[in-house]
Amino acid sequence: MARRLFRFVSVMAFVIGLLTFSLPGAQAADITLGALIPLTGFATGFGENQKVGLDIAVDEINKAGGIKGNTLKMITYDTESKGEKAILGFRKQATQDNVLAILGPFLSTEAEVCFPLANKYQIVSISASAAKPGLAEAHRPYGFINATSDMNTLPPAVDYWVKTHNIKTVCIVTDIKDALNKSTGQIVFPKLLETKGVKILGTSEFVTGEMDFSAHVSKFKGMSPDGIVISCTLADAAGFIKEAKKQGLGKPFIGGVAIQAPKFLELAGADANGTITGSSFWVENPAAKSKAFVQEFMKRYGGREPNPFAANMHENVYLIKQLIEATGVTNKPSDLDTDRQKIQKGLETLKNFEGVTGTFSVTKEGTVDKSGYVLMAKDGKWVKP
Amino acid sequence: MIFFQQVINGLMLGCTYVLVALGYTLIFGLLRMIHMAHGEVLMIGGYVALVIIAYLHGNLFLAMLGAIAVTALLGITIYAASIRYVEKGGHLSPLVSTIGIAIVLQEIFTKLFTGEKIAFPQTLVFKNIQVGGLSFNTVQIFIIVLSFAVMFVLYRILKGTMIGKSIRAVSENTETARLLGIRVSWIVVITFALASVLAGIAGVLVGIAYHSIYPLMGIEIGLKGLAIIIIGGMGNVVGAMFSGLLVGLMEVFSVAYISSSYKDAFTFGLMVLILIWKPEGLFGSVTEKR
Amino acid sequence: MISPYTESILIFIGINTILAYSFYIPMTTNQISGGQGAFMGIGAYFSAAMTVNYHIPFPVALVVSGLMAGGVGVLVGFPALRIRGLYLVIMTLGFAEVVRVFFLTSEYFGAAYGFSKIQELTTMTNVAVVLGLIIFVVYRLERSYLGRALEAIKENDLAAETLGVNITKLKVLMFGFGAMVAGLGGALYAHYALFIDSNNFGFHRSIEMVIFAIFGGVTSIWGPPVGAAILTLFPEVLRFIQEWRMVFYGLLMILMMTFRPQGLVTKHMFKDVLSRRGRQEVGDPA
Repeated sequence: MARRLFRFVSVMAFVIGLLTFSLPGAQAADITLGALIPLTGFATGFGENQKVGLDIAVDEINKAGGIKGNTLKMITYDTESKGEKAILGFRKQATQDNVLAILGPFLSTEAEVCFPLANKYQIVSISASAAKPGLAEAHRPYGFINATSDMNTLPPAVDYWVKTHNIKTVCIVTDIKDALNKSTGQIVFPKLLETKGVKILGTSEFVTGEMDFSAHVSKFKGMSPDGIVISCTLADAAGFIKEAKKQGLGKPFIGGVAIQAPKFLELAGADANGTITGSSFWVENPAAKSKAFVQEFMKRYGGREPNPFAANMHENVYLIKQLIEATGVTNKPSDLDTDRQKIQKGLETLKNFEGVTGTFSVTKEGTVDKSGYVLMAKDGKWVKP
Repeated sequence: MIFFQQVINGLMLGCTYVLVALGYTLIFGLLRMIHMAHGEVLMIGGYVALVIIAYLHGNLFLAMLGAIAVTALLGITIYAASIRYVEKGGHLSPLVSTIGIAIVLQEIFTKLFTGEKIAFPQTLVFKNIQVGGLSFNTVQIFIIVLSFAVMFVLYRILKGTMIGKSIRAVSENTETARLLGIRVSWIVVITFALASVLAGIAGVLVGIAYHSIYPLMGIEIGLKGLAIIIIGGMGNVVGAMFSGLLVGLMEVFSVAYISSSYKDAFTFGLMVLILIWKPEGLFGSVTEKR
Repeated sequence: MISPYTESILIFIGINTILAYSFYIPMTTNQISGGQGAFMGIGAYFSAAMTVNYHIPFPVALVVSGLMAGGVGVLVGFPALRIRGLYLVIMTLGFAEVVRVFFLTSEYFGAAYGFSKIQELTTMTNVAVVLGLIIFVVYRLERSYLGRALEAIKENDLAAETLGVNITKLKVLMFGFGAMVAGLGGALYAHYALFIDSNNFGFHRSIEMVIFAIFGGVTSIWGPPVGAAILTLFPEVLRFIQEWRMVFYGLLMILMMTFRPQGLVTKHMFKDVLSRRGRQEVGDPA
C-alpha cells in the first residue's frame, strides 16, 4: 500500500517536472511554427483533411530549401475539437515551444478562446477556417482569419441563382446550433435576397447532426417556394437535399460556404445536381497552382479532394514564410518577441498574395478580401455554370 | 396531407429509436447493467454493412447478416471482457469502463474510416408511391416493415420461448432463477447478444434511412435510447416499442409545428417529467424501482 | 517561475478537481448525479453575464452564481429524492441536456454564438482559494456529526432514519451543495476560457466529471483531486503520440475499472499505510 502511494506520488512529481521544463526538440537554426488542428473529436474529418494541406506546404517548402535556408519545423497539436485543449495547446506553443506564429485553430469556438491569448502573448494566430463573422475584427491586432465569410462569397452566387431560375419566393432552412450557419441562414441570405426583391415564404430550423429532414421538407413542400436556401453543415445539407428529392420537392437549391467541400457532393450524389453556391476555393480550377495542389493532395489522401480549409491552411504556411523572409525576422531566441511583432505588422499590411485559391489581400479587419466563384454542382463536381 | 407525411416520417424515425431502445431495455432494464457503449455497437453494425456492400460487393441481406453476426460477438465481448469483471465495483465502474470502450471504438473507426460522414450505399430500389394525395417511398416502407417484424419476433421470443422466460426470470430475481436451474451466466450472455443484434440492425437501418454514417453517430442516438426507456419503463419491452414510436412522432411534429431546436428538450423534458411523476415509466417497469 | 503552459495545466486541474467534487458531494448521500454539467453551465453563464453586462466584481459574481446554481440544485434535489441509483443518473443526465438546450436557444446568453468577451479573472490563486475552501468544508463535514449521519445514510437509509437522521434535509442539502460547487467551477472556467457556449455544459461535461471522480475514487475525500489531476495530465503528457492519445485514454479507463473499480484512492488507504496493516480495502458496497 505504501509502495503504491509512493510510486504514485513520484510519478506525479515526475510528470509535473516534465511539463515545467521545455524539452529541446528543434535545432537551433530551425524555423518553428505551431499548428492547432482537431485530430480527434467531432471535427476530426475536417482536421485530417486540413492537416494534409498543411503537410504538403511544409514538405514543399523544405524540399525547396526551407525558409531563408533553414528547415521549417511544424509543431502540430491536437485540439480534440475542444476549446480547453486548444487553450492548452496554444499556450504550450506560444510560451514553451516558442514558435514564431500559430496556424490555427480550426473551429470558431476554438478561435474565440485562442485569439485573446494571441493578443496576450503577442503572437499571430491565423486560422484557415474559423469563419464566424466578426471574429477576427473582435480580436485585433493578433487574430487573423484566412477564410471567407458568406457575406463575401455569396453575392455573385445569389445574383446568378435568382436570375437564372427566376426566383421570386424562397424557403430557408437553417442550422441554428452552428454559429456560422445560423448567421448565414438568418442574416446573410435574407439580406442578400431582400436586395433582389425575393420574398421569404417560410423558414425552418434545426440543430447540427439532424438525421431526419422529412418534417422540414414536408413543411416546405406545403409552401411551394420557387427556390430553397440551405444554410447548414455539408452533411446535413446533403441529407436535406436527398430527402427533398425523395419527397419530390425538386426545386433549385442554393447553399452557403459550408457546402463548398467536395464531401457534400459525395454524400448528396446526383440529387445535388444544379445546386449553386459561392466559394473562395474551386477544386476544379485549372489554374496551375491550384491544380498542382489538388493533385498532390489527392495523391496523399487516397483520391479524396481537399476542402477549402485545407487550401487556406496551405496558403497560411506560405503567407508566414513570405513574411518571415520579407520582414527581417532573425529567428534568434532573444528576438522572439520582436520577430513575432514583425510578422504581425507584415501580415496586417499584406497585399496581393498569390495562393492556391487565387490572389488576395489581408483586410484591416484581419480577414481576407477573397470573393466568391459561382459554382454549380454537376455529377459529383463543382463546376462553373 | 402534410400531416400524414409527417406521421410516416415520425414512424420511420421512431422505428430506429425503438430498436435502440429495445437493446437498452434489455440491458439496463432487465439486467440492470450500465452499458455506455451501446451506441457504438449500433455504429459498428452500420459500418459492417457498409463494408460488405461497398467493398465485398454483397447485397443488403448479406450485409444485414454480417452486421448481426459481428454485433452479437461484439456485445458478448464487451460484456465478457469488461462489464462482468467490473460489476463488482458497483454501478459506477461499468459506467466508466464502458465509456472507455466507447472512446476506444470511436477512435478505432475514426482511424479506419476517417471521422467524416461517409455515404452509405443505397441498394434498395427506390420508388415514390402516391396514394391519394399522400406520398411515401419504398425505403420508408422497408424500414417500418422490417422494424415491426423485428419487434414482433423479439416479443414472441420473450413471451413464448424458454429463453425468453428465462431472461425475464433472471431479471425478476437472479437467485430464484438460479435455484430454478437456469444457467444465469448463459442467459446474461444471450441477452447481451440479443440487445447488440438489435443495435446492429438499427445501425444498418439508420444508414439506409439517412444515407450516411460516421464514427460518432452512436453518441446522440445512444442518449435518446436512454431517454426512451425511461419514458416507456425500464425493462418493459412493449413500453420501449410504444415510447420509441411516440418520441419519433413527437420529435417530427415538434420540428414541423414548433421548432426543431426544442426537439431534444421535449424528449429529455418528457423524460424528466416521467421520472418525477411516474418513475416506473408510462407502461410500468418490470421490477419495482430499486 | 512556472511557465504559462504549466500554469494553465494547474488551473485546469484545479477547476476539474472542483468539478469532480461536485459529483463527490451528492455521492456521500448515495445520490449519483449525472447532471452536474447543467449546474456548471448555470454558474458559468450567470457569472459571465454579471461581469460582462453589469461589471460586477468577480468575487461577488463568483459567489452569487455559485449560490444560484446551488439554489437550482436544491429545487432539483427535492424530486430527486424519490428516485434512486440508476434512474437518478439518467434523470440528471436528461436534466443536463435540457439545460444545455435552454442555453443554446437563449438569445440573451448568446445562443449558438456563445458568450464572449469574458475577462480573464481566474487565477491560480482564486482557484486554489475556492478549492481549498471546498476541501475544508467537506473535510469538516465528514468529521462532524453530519459526517456520521452521512455514513449511516450510505449504509442503510431506513435504519439511519429510524435513528433520527433527517434524511430529506441532508440529501437535499448535499445535492444543493454539490450543485453550488459545480456552479463555482463553471464561473471559474468561464473567466479562464473567456468564451463559453452551450456545448461546454451538457451530457458530455457531466460524464467527464463523473469519470474524474470515479477514477480517483469516491469513497475518499482525496479521490477527486487525484482523479482530476491524472486525467487532465494524461492527454497532455501523451502529446507525443498524438494520434493514439484518445485510444490510450479510453484504455486507461477500461483498465482502471477492471483492476481497481473502487478508484485510485480509497477511504482507508491512508489509515492502512499509517497503521502498517497493509490490508486492502475493497471499497464500500455500491
